[in-house]
Amino acid sequence: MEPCILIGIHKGQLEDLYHSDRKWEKFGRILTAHFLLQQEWQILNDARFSPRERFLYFFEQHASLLHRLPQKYLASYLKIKPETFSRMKHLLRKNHKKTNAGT
Amino acid sequence: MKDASHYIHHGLADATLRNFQTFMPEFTTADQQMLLHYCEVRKFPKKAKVVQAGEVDDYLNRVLTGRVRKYVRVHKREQTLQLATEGHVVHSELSFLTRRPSLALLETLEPTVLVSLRYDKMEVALEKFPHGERLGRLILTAMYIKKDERRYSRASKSLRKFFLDYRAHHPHMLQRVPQKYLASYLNIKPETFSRLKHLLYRRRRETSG
Repeated sequence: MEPCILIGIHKGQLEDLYHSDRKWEKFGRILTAHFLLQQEWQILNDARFSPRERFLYFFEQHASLLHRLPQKYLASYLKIKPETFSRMKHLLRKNHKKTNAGT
Repeated sequence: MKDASHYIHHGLADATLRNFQTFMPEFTTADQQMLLHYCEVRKFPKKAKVVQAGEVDDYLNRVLTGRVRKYVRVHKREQTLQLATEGHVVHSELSFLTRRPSLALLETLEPTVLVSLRYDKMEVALEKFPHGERLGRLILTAMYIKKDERRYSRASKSLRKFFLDYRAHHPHMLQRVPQKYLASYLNIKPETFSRLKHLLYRRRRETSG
């Protein structure tokens, strides 16, 4: 969606690294646990949040993405209908005002 | 308490060994006996809570016999997250790994026997076991792939296809698990679930007729 710079490691080289030392095996186990935790959070939040809550929760953590990504992708990712997504955008503005007023 | 190695002659050993060998070919019978020493066997009656909400889950479990439902309470509703049966791994991942109170609950649907590895013993096993870290990583990877496959499958297939595929892969679930839990797990409205089930009967009649 934009020009990107990625840092990557080839699967075979990652395996070699894991095999080279017990410390790297441990690193791999902790890294994998981290991915599993992220995935589990997503599953749990999908299950317990309404579309409105998902919307607010997501933009609380990734506020800048609203302007960087096409809305249709964001809506699809959050499993919210595009029309509903548009209507929800005002929630962010209101929230913003409320926060400002509080400070 | 008896550790799980006492159950080696009860069919547990063979199944566990096959299971480990699928993702770690060099895993031996000796490795397995050693690992089972760290585990314990836990028995639960039907409808027992294996993990309550708000409690830290201390165990990584594999179902030896029975059925376990993992779910989360949403307002007055219950959303089923997992239906685990023989051979499946089930626990509250977030609570177990972060050592924080569990949001999810685990409840048995039938009398159930679990082979369980307690968190502190897992830490010892990771240190002392020859391929502990590696085995740990491979178990976590297998769990990740299973969940990812399920989510991908739900997102990429029609509801009808998703239901029929699930039924084909888990033929006993439809008989052994109450319909409301299955519907909730598959994220299908109860009315729609009934209609889909109807589809199965019609198909069967058409094939036999």
